[in-house]
Amino acid sequence: MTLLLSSIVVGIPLIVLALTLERTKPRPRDLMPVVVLSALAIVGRVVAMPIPNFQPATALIVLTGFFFGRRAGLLSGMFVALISNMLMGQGPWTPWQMLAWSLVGYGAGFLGERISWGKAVIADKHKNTDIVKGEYGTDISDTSGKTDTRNNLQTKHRASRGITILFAVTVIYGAVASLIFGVIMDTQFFVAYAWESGWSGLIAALAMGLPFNMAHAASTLIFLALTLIPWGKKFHRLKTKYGIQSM
Amino acid sequence: MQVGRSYRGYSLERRFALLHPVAMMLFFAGTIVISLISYHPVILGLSFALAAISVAYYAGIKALIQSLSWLGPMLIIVILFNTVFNRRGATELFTIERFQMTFTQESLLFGISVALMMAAIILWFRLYQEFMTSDRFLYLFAPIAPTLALSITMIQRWIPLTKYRWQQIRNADKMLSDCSSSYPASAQSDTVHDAATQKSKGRHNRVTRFAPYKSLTHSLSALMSWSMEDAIQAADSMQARGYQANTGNRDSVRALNSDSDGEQRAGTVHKSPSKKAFRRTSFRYFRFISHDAVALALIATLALLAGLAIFFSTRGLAFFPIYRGAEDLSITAALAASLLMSFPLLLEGKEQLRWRLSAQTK
Repeated sequence: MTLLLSSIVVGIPLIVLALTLERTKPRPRDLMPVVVLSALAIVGRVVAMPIPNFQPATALIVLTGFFFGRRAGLLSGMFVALISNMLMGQGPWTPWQMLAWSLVGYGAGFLGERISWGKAVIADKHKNTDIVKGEYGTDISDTSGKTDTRNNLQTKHRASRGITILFAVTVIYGAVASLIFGVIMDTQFFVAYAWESGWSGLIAALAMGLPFNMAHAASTLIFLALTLIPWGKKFHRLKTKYGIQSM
Repeated sequence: MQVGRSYRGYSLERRFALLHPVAMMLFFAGTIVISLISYHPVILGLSFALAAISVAYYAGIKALIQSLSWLGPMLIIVILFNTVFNRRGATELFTIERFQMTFTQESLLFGISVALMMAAIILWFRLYQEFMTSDRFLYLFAPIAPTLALSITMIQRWIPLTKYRWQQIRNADKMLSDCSSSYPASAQSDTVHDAATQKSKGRHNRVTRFAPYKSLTHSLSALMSWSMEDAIQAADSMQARGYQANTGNRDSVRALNSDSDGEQRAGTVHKSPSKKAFRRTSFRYFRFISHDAVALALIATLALLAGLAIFFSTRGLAFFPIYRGAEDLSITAALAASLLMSFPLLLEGKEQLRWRLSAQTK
């Protein structure tokens, strides 16, 4: 009975979220990053299946949310869980995974809105040149045209610190989000199959899941550390080249 | 009569594959929900057995074995977890004195019930996967959530495409590293150059050691850009052909307006956005015929009946402290549930019978 009830409790917010996203009527073009990165995440998850919980899916969801907005992260999380389970085996865990990964993507989108990628990386790229120029016209309009050297040096200093902070915060967020995802899935195990064991059962479920969650967090950390900066530059260029809006 | 293997629910010999998607969806929803309602051993056994038989019949014995092979360890974990961590229950199985752990019969029974339910659900989902192909999925959900349904179908298309592109990129990468020593990702350099050249380039040893990983990230990056640019072109192409033209997306209407062929049509869209004239069509069209209506009514009645009967007759079932209430299951519940769960198989049986009879009379 708890399996049914918990599925309903988790399923209703998912349906509401999906229909709300539907009503915003995103352009097909803005959806494409979500489609491509979700497909990559699904392939990565299926390929890495033999190694338990070591998979790049969470990192890719974080990247989607971080660069293409909260709704993109949300959608990506839902799609990755739903479609990768079509290949790996659908089950009562699917709605929980959908919700957990959506939250991870949404959080990453929230983070992406707080930390401005454009300013940090492009200013970082120009830190060795004398004049900081706005690339692609728009991104660093506030710093372009400044000829005061002292001011300029300050900008450069701030920029290179900015990218370090951005990198650290995002990678740490990815690891923590993976852990939270794991905790949600362990709770699902407890609620669905072993709720009669009481609190000791929940603690045991979390303890048993810990090594797997650590592996998950490590994989996310490694994948994000490898891809965040180079892919971020590509995403940024793609956004300006094709006029993709954050969702 | 030779019965061919069904491929993803497309086999014409399977009557269930010809059912309208709405009836099919209702069957799966009803079956899965009914399997989730109760831990009654009869219902669980019925559900598991019929799911296994259906999967074996429609998807092949191999598919069933494959599903069970990854299911097995999970079921064992669920059973063990419940037995070890659940101390409730009155009947003692055995006790480990050293850790002061008591294992009870009730918790073992509970674990087995939960595991059986889980196995049944997963097998029903396996059957669902066999029949709910993406065209049926789109037919059902595109009117409700067009964007989401489209994204899901596109992702499903992009998965094999991504794999194919990855292979292409890796091949190119391998070829380049084999043929040119100056290629940065020269992973196979030691197979091409002899030991002497390796030694003379000792300074670069560190570079070559990390080269395979570097080339891997390089390839991944290429894969991402390639897929992304292609997807965006696909989106543009869709918009240029009037995708979402009737859903109030301004860009699409503009794209239609600028299209010289579609001038006439676009004009009418602007003036009177009548939904009938420009309704989204589905890739595959499913006709709802009288057979589907009968099937739909049958499935709905059986599901409702089984659901209510199971819910009300197995309320007395309890595991702790003593397993009890397993005997009062109403016959209606068992009958309705077994009829509902064997619906596809009964449908096939009916068709076979009809075929045999018609062959006899001739």
